[in-house]
Amino acid sequence: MAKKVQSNESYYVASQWQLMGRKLKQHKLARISMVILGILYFFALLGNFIAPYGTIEFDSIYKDCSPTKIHMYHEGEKVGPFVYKLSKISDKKTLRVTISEDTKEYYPIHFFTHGEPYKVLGFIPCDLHLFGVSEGSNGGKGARIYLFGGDSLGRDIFSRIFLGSQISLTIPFVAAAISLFLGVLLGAVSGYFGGRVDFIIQRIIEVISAVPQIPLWLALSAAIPPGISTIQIYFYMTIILSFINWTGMARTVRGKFLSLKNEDFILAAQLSGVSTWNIIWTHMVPGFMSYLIVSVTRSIPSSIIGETSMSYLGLGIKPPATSWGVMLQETSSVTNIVSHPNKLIPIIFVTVTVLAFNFFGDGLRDAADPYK
Amino acid sequence: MNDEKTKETGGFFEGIASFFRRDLVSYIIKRILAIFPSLLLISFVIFVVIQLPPGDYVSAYIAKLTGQGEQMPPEVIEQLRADFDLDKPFMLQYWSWIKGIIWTPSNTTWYRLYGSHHNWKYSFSEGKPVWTVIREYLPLTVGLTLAVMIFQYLVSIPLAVYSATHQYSLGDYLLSFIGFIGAAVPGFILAIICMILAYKWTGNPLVGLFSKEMLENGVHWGNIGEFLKRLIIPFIVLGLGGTCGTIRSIRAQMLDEISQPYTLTARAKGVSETKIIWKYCFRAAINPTVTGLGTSLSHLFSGSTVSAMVLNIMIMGPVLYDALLSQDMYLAGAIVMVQAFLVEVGILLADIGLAFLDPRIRFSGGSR
Amino acid sequence: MKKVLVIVLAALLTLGIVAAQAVEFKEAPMLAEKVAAGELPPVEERLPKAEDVYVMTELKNHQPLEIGKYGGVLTKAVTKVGNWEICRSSTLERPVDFDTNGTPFNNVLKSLESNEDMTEWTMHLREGMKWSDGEPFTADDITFWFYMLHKNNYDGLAYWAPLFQVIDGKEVWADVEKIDDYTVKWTFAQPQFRSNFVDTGDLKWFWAPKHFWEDKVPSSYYMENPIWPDTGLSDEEVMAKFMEIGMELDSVKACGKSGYYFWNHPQMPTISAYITMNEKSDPLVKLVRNPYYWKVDAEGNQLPYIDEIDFLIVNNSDQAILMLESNDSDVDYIVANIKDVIAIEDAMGDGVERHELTSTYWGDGQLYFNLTDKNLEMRDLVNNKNFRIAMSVAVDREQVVNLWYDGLTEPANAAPEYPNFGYNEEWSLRYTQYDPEYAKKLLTEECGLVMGNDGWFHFPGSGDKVSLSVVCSKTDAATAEKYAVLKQYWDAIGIEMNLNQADNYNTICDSNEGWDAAWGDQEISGYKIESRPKQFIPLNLAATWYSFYDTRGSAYNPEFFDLEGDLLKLYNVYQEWLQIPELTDRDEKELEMMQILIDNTWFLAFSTTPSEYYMVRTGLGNWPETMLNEDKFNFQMQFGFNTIYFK
Repeated sequence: MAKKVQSNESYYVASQWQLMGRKLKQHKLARISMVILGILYFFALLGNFIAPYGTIEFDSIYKDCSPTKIHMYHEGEKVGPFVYKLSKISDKKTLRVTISEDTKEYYPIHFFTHGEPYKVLGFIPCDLHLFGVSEGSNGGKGARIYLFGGDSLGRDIFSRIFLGSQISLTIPFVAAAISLFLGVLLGAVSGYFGGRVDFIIQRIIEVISAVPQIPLWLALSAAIPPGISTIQIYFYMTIILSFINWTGMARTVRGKFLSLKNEDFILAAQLSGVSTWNIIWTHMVPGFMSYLIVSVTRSIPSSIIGETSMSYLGLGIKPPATSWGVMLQETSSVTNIVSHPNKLIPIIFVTVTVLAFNFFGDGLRDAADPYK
Repeated sequence: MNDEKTKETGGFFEGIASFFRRDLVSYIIKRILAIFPSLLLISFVIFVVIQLPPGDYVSAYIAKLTGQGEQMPPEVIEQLRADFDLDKPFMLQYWSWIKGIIWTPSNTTWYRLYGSHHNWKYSFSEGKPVWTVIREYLPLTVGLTLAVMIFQYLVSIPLAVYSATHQYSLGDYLLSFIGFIGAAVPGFILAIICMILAYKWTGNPLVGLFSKEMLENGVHWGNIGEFLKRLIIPFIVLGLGGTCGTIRSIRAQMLDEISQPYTLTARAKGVSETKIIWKYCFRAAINPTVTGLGTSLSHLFSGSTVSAMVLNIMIMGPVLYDALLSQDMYLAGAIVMVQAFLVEVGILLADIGLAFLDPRIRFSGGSR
Repeated sequence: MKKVLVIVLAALLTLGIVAAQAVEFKEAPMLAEKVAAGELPPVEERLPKAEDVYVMTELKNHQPLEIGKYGGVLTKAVTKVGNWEICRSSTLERPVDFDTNGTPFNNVLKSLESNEDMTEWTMHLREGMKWSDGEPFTADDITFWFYMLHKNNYDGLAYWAPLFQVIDGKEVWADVEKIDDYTVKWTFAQPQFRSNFVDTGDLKWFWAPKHFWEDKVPSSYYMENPIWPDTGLSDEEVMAKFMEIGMELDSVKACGKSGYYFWNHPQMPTISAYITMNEKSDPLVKLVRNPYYWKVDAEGNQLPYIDEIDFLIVNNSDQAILMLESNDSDVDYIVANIKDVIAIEDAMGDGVERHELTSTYWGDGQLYFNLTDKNLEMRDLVNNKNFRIAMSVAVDREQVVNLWYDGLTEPANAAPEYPNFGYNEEWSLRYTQYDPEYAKKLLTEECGLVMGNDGWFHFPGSGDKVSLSVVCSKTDAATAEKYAVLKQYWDAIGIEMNLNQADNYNTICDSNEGWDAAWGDQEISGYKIESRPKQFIPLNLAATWYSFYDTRGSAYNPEFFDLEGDLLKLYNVYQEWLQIPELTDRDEKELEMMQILIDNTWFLAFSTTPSEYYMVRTGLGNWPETMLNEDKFNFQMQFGFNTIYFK
């Protein structure tokens, strides 16, 4: 009895955020999604370490190969996990290309190997990789372990997914952050001041929403100067994506502001001489912060799809960098997919990420709902 | 005195009828007039946006020719540019275009040839007047978009209501999952997967809405079956994305409504569950969805572009895309304006529909 | 008796292919129906006079022509991109046509001869030959075209160079006059060799249906000429006339230009085997048999055999492949590239045949440097042959060939490919060894570049990093990936070559700003030099030598660059080449030009060009065994729509 009273009491004194946290835990799908997203971002952070290869390691023998088979037994003996090297025969007359495993020599899989160097967090040099293959049992070289197969230029799909996630998972965040900032600012101004300011901002929002996205993407990305570094393209893309998304947020914020503006506590604050900016930021915004968070979480999936589509159309990330959208370009060839279904794997990652964000956002929405 | 009483106590239909008589016509006119300034602004924005990338139509055209092995002396290229007015300064080009659209006087070639006071100019790549090009694609675009939207709502509404009334059940999760898949997988990927599946299961990839025979002879009773078959993939691909959002939003609103105190009262009074759900909760829940009709329409137009290209469907999206790539300004500008206009009209219809549904709006004079 | 004698004499006098044997002509069933219904005149009246009928006994590669069966609809699934000229390429009839060795034979022209000093050329047309609407094809059509459409530039694109000569820096046009209904005479100011006249690949036609155009030439474009008077029509009246027939064009200029694109307009009469029925932008483009086509086979059957040709436009090549493979579709053939061939054959088994369309390019992935670069240091560098050699040997072509084409092509440098004219194994493999150390050595010792601490080479003078902007007109990602394969090798030796994918690349090249090299465009290709002479003198990308046929130099362009060294030598050899009357005698000079090009390595290439393949459903006859992908042979359409038949 005392325990129940205690838990009830903790319920009553819990802050808004603690309440939300508790309700969130109840939503099963949201919990699973949080875990999945956590894993994905963790892997993105460790991307260079997990991926055995870089993004531009071409290999003509492993071009379009299917996932590398991991064997345990070589010529009847158990020698631990290993792979065989592939060999390729191209018949120039019949145009047939045959790939087969060269079972004469085996290449054991090692963990924590030294491979392609990279920089942790952009400045700490390192070359440790989670796993890889180096020399063969007879000293041969050149075998590779492509867990998800190879793409049309012989690069490792597995590595590119994890390295690409570094871009595909972070651009939406940055874009969402910028959208949030723009949306709250302009929505607040529009809603609070009303009148002509409101009218102008509303018309701008209307125009931007009415213009179809494809032309905006195309034109804005065609305006990106060529030959610039990946970082700069990244920067431009987040600007473009956030530019398109902020209107929804602004409209929502404005709506909330319009309804909150006439509340008594705002009137009281105005009468007691609180400055306008203080009113907006200290009193009004926290009132619907939870709603904003939900909006942001739900705008991230559309940014992911946006970045994917842009890169798919060739407007975004260019080689040597890669993102999931770039990898999807290869999947658009039907004959490619029919012969190499392993190329569809990036889709699974995109889908799972978007689903996870959606469920998480749903859970947040439910948690923030005061009526339940 | 009597009039007021009628307004308050009059029946449902009398109320609507009186509203429509009084306010509707002027409301519609006001709204349509309000569209035009927006269109003007949009036309300017799109004109700027189109000119942003370096080069112009002629450079894209010449690049294409060069790829074929043709060579052109620079003076020919300059002449081409002058023919298309591309060597004039930007504002002049815009002004001459927009002026022609608003009003072309009777003493111009255009009026004498076409009998129209509105000169939308020509598409560079097709060599035809812009309206001729748009007219070719407009019926299919509008028809398909409307059909997909209706399909979306027909599918999402029952699913959403079920989901809301059976919250947290297996059915709820399953439906949410399927709905989300539609939004999570990009449209063009879904299109390709559907084509592959169609090919593997039926031997016919069902590329495009019209088979060769239909392109020759049109759609008639003989091939209506084939046509319906070919509609399946576009509906799935184009519709699924929007379905998800609609399901979630209706479901959320329904959940809000169902937990309102008035449902408890109604149940206590013995009103049937179905009536409660559909006549009361649903009508209130549908409000934001109907408001969102405009955005959903706009998304349908632009989101369908890449999928339509993959599926080989001739709607305006891919035409716009090609026009933008080749910087065919007048065509692209016109298409965007047409789409914006359609979206605004959609919003207007939605608002009228809203007025039907929500008496509060009728009495307060509109949602805008 | 006399008639037979006349016929025999005419047969003996005909140049080119075999004379008419059978006087009895046969036609396709669908046309016979129309004749019976009174809609068409009988076949003898539709064809030219018996002795002027073109009798086809073999295909262009000298494969004998099988007598085919009438009927059927041939469908091709084709992508929008790159096939914007499908109607032309499939139906163009040249005055003089070429076999696969490049030897000319008469086609539309029955015969032609010149006077002693080759200043006058007399052409004989086929008597009784008609346009697709039944009107006769006469000398008027040629003179009208010349004076009312072409010389006054009403057809707008460029001047057919074979029809004028440049004397003392000025253009002097030929004159054409009508001798009788079926004979015209061209008069040139100076001797005009046949090989520069009708035998170039460039003179594709010089006629237009006068009965169509005579009310569609405005006064504003009228140019004084000895034959045709001014029509007195205003611009607007002409535009209205076009609108009447269903062509809405934006200006009178566009009206004139539509004549250049006659194959795209169903309203214009034609002399090809098929008539276009609708616009090229429609999703289904139909070409229907021309009842007035003037060729027959050895048994007197009027060609073509197939009733109708349809082009189904799809968005990408994958859809085309799927449609070919699927059983429900009507598609009969597509053109596939090397990577898809096996997949298609596996899917269709015996149902599909493969025919190769060999390429005439001098290698794939050609790289060309801006020899007139405004940056003087860069210009010196790229003009230094050792730099070009270094860039060539730095690349591991084995890997490149494997990555680009799965090892189905061979490593090669820019040189004529087998089996084209001039193929030489040594040329093909020159500087293809993979030796990055040697490349670095060349760059340091011969080019004087300095390796910096950042791993890149720097110019000795300014100290700037050697960084080239490589412009490319294709903006798709596949091209970027393809290029990335090459870039890694140049990165490894320390030269930065950044790809700039810009579709306004023509503007960039014309202005000579911002490009140091071009990749994958402006490549050398062509069966022989006469196909595309401009590309053989690699300065055509610079502002000066844009149009190869004219020698407008410093007077025309203030940024005139003087030709020097081997480029000057090349130019001079070309001028000598032009002076040789007979096409077949020019081979020696051509090889000389090729030697200069190869020796200088102005162009680099990395792989042989993969062929394209026709994947055709079995059951089509008269498909040629050898085909060369070239403008002169109408690119992909050279298999001959007018001779294919369904078995």
